[in-house]
Amino acid sequence: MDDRSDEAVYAAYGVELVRFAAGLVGPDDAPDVVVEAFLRVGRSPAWTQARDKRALWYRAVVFEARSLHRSTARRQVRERRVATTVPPAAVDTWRDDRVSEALGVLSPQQRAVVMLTYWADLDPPGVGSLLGISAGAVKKQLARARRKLKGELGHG
Amino acid sequence: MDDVEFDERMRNAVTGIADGAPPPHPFPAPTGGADQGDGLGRRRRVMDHRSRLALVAAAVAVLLTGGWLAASAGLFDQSVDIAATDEGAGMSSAVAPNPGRSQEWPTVTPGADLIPLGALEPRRVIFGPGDEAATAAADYLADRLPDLAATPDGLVIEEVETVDGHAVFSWSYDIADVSTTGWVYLLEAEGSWWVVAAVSDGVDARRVAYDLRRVTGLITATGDNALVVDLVDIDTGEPFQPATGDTVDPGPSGRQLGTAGRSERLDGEETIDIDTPVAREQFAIRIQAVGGTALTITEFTVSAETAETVLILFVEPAAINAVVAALAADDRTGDYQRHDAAETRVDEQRLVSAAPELAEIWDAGSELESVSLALATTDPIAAVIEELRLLEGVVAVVPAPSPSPPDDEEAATPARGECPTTQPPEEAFVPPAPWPATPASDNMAWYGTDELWTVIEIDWPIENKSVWWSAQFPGGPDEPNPPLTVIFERLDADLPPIVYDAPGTNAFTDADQWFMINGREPTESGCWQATATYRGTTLSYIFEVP
Repeated sequence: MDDRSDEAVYAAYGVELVRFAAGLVGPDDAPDVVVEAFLRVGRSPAWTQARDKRALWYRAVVFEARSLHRSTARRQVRERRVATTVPPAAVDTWRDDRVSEALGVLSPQQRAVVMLTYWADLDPPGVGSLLGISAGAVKKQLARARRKLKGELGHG
Repeated sequence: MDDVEFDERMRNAVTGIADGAPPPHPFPAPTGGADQGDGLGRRRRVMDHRSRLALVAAAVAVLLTGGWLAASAGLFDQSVDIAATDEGAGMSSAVAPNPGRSQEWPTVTPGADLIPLGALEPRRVIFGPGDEAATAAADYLADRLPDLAATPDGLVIEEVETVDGHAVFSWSYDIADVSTTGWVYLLEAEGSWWVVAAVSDGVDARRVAYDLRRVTGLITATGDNALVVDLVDIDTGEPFQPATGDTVDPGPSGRQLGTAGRSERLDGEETIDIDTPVAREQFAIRIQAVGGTALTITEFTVSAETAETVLILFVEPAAINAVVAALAADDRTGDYQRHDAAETRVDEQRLVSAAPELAEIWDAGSELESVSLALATTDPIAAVIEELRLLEGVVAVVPAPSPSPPDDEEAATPARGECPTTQPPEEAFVPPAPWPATPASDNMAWYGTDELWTVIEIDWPIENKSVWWSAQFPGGPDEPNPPLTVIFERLDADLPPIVYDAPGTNAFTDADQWFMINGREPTESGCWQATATYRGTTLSYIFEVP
């Protein structure tokens, strides 16, 4: 069991998690997603008993990214409906970069796998242990992500 | 660009993205009350949006995601953010087990994979797109029910609800004393509308299950018309199973119906007992009543991910806290977080009571890989609930493989690394011309003889179709359906083999030349032996899925 205080855990992994989240939701939303994940997982009974709070937090960040993914899709629909009365959303810098844009077509889970594979340089078992999925699932997600990315980047 | 260069570029790109991230917010207090600082602002907005979702949207969400989205995204319009209330600040107060029932509830087995189900992605699409939901629904029905759609005043299509990127349309007809009705579910994505499922009144597919090896279960229908079922390739929209019996003559669409089964009359119902080997990540099941032409359409997708992870429970009101407590104790953040509905302290009087179903599910509790929870209301549209009862079965209620094998089986399981995987031969096999001397990927090697060969993966296995070559295989139109049989057997567990009976299909790429496909390599972890037979030649290899 990880006996460190919540503040110590936050200090130890906060920067790392925000960097990870930047690959999932873009830099603008990354700090929000990370802190929300921390708050949510901190309320879980599992948190106090967790042996690996870092991994638990990683999974919570992916979950929050999915929530944002869904709410963003809904928001876009609503914004289109009221486009004449509501100012357009700020320019989404997440989509300015070509690779970032390509990442945007992936599911949040696939983005998480891509980030942990390429940024954290983890092998499939390592990615799987952080995300709570099997290495086989990681490989499947990574293979799909690669195919999509190659297509998006014109290397398919 | 080869894989190595691609990987290197991706590594640089994502590192740049990560390095560009801002610093984290200051440390928040995880157990705080109403005001959690800046980090909670967006959460409140999300919850507010959720609270406005209509029931139909939630119903479709259940369909799309196997339940957890609905549980977390507004099935109940009283949703509140518990983090903003003192009562909801702690999980313990929200999920205190019901003292009268809690001891009866098994603990959900921890440690199983948690595979996310995705969300608003058109991955369960069976038809589309259309510029408008109505257009997509009409086009879909015209394709699936062509004669009815072509009959003047025959097929009536009406919008039931369109909310936040989801839409439900009803269809019905009453022609010559024959009438029925059904619903089409659509999703808006990428600026277009896509059909993701269809159901028909009286068609019950709740007992269909997919365990990554076979599609099994009973499909029944009231009425006098025969029922046919096809297993359909998502990409092509065409059945991928060879016809196993009598099929229905092609209608105007030219589509052969009933390739995976046709009903017989049992106990006053049209019944199909389907039992078909399938090893695909995703496919669609298409069920239609036919009487001279297609009369109904029930269609939905099944995916390997769904089969591994999803179960929807209808929970009686008194049990909700105990269920959530069991899930929360499971030490799986994802599962815990799927149950926002309980956190929001829903009005229990609005829950559907379904105790018998629940008891049955709990009886199998120890064999469930994971549990997802969906709650349904009876108000305001009870009809949707009935649809959900169909959809829960066809989309989501799928008994998963047991995560805990019996002791003797466990003992027989070789430890990791002990699977005697087939290695590339020291002297590389070189196929005859015109096939290339080496496979297309550096991660692969040819294995076999001129009579029958395949590729084996050197590093780690990737998701692959089961592909085979032979110098005897002429390919092309000369042999579009080669007599190739492929069997996958687990060497480390006593499980039934996955059998892909002949024929296979032909395929061609510039890099691979003509080759044969039959089935797909399994993705379930374990030590596997693949054995193929073609024109009297048999070839086997062993591989491990980690």
